[in-house]
Amino acid sequence: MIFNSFQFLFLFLPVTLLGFYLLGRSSQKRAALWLLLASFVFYCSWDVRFLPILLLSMGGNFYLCRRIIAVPQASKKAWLSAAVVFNLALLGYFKYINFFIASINGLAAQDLQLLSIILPIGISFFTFTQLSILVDAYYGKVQAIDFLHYALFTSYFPYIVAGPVLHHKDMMPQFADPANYQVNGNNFAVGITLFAFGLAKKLLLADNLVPMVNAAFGSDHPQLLQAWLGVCAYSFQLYFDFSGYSDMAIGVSRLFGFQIPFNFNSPYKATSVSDFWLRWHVSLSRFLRNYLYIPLGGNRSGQWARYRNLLLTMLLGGLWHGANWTFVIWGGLHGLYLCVQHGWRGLRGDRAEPPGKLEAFANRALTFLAVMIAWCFFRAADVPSALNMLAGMVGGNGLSLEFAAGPFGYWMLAISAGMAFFMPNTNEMILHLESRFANKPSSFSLVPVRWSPGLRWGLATGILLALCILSMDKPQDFIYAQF
Amino acid sequence: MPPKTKIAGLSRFFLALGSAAVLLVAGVVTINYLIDPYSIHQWDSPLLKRLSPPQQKIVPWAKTYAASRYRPEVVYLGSSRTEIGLPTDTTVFQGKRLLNLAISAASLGDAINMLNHTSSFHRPEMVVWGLDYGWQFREKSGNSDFNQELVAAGPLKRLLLNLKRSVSLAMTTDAYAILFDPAAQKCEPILATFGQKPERCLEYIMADEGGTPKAFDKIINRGDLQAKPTDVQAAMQLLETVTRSYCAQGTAFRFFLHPVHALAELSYWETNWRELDRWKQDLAQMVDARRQEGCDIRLMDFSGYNAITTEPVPQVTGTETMRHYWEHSHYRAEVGQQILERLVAPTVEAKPGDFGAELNAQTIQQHLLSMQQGRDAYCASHPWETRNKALCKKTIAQGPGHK
Repeated sequence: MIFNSFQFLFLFLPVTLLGFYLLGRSSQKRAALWLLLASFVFYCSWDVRFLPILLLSMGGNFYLCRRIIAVPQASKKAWLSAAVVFNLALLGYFKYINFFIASINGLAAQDLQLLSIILPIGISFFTFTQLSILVDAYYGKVQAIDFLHYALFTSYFPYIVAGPVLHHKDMMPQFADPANYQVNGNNFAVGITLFAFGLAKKLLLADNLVPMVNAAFGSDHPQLLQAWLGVCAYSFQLYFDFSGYSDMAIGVSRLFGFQIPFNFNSPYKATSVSDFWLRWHVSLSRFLRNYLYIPLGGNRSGQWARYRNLLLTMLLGGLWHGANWTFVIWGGLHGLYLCVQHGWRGLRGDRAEPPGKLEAFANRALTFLAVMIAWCFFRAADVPSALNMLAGMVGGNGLSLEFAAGPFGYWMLAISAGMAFFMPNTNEMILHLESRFANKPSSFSLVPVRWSPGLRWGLATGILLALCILSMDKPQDFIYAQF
Repeated sequence: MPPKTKIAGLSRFFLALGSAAVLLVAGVVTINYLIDPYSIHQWDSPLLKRLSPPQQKIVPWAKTYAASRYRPEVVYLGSSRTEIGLPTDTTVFQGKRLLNLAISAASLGDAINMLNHTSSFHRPEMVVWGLDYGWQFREKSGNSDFNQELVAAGPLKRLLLNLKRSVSLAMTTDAYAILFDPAAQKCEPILATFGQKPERCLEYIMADEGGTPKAFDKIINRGDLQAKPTDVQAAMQLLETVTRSYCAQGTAFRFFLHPVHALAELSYWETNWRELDRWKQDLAQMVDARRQEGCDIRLMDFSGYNAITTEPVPQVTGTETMRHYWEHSHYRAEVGQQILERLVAPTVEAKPGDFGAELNAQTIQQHLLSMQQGRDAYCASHPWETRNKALCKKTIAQGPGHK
């Protein structure tokens, strides 16, 4: 059951909301339990065999977290190590074991049998979400833990398929706040609008770019124009697919009164690769920084250690996305970009003045180009296919400028580019009324659109929602759901 | 968590949002349902005769509906080859309610689902079934529009499904084309010809896709290898169960293997023709077993290297069309008529004489040998057309009759 399906929109969501608020009137605990059960049902709708794995992860980590909190300081490290091993073992077995076997087969010319294993959806997300609470428990940042809230935090249905990666500091206080179990009109207005915007990004933009992307990446020899348009289209497809999912997840959660962190902040307006990572999949970037890069030493041990830590963090970040060398290379490329950027800054020295308009434009263009090149590896089925696409981009497969995408394809590409480069993002449009965003500077936008809950925006959101519902006849999965 | 800035006008916002969304969706659904461009709930209405675009969409929905209304006594099952090739305008089944329930890209499982569906309204007396080896010989569905919920759905469930399917702007676009765009109105809907794809639609589709010569270019130059079925045993078991169950109730079966063009035959099975032969043996064995149980069942193979399948290709003749074929794997209804005559009236003499062979325990070995000899002869007599076919190269290298 995906967000862009009739079952979710007209059955699961209304029933879950109704039950939640009816129960919430008499008992916060019952409402939370209802939401937990609904989350299990949502998770089982993919494959009921996934549930025992989620329960094992949840139960094991809850026990380990309790132990880390309870034991004396001297024993905490051993329990944390056990917890990390437990999580990596689960992730390693279900997600990576066949990748390792296939790699050994390839490197050592072996013929080891691949294992027949199911890959539970969202395992990367719920594993990382739990790792953060375990590490924070070790550092004494978590003093007590309630099972119901922990279980809900782990299996909460809006995030479990494709994030954002949740943090207990954001979620646990909200689950404990009785005010969040009462109907709140503001939450509904913001939630429905975010959901409608996310659905529109997915159905009206991302899904309509698929034919152009598939034509380019499915071609044996993509020529110059086809390669560029295909990679461009994929860059926008991925952005609108994933940020659309995130908007929907945030919107759905908001209907229940809980705010989950925003995940995108106009990433293609980034003026450097490090800026890109502050805007793209923000919750994962935050996790990688706090629980990998900084523990590795960050930039505290000199320039070369910083480069090593950056590369290692991005390589593992790449591998987190999927058990394939293409993701490792994608992560490695971003690590390399970050090293080059920091190296260049080191050579140039700090600048007192911000860059001018032309320089900012050039920075944005260069960053987008670098990100696009890396997306070739992210999208391609294997490394040779990615190299073939890159060869196409430099004319290695021919310089033909003929590519029959059709006027609709070009329109979709132009609209997507306009939205990504020149429009405010959903946070800026919808959440600007809220205190946590009130003082944040807006990103560069040609059209300063601002949402407010009135007649005009009600009509606009209603029409947008209707157009989306009318485009749901053949729902396509979200790209990040595979991770 | 209440925001700092007070949000006003919530009731107007919700009223406007709800009204706009409901009115727009309801309007589109009403238009779609009334115009019904894909005939998902039409059978004996005048709308069924209205001209449509050549590429008709969600055909399985239309056919499952037609099966429930028409309650056919004779049904055709299979993939697009059956849908295109087997005529419904035939004297072979005169006086019988006949429906072509084959659907494009159908798997074995799809055909069985269609058979179970139509039987839930009226058990057919005879099933004419075009079997496909390769990836389609499996239980899992091959047609993405063949929603399994459609199968034998009750009237209320069917109505809900149709309503759900009508929530679609794409359908409105097609409805608009049917109503206001004369250029889009090309040929009869598929139900107007009792489930057989209308010839006029095919002429448009072929012209749109570059014609018969272009289709043969592909098969001559590059080949078109068929993927192997993943679990032949499971699919064969399924077919056994279905035939046993229906035979016990008195349904007759006429199975046949399609007369794809000889070049397609060479290209599809060049790496796994032995598996294809084994599959034919298993089929013959299954049919024999049913016959011994008293079932009225036959299996005929029209594929191979006979006078129909070896028709000269446009690249050789210089013509734009072929007498027997739309393209390399889809034959014309005249060929389908001959198939029906041979299947249903065994006394009818084959025209030409080598078209179609009965498969059973007595004939199968000789038939498979004849196929190999026919292939060798075809390779030898058509060196230009078969120059890229691995099986033919092998023939040339090893001499005819290799094993």
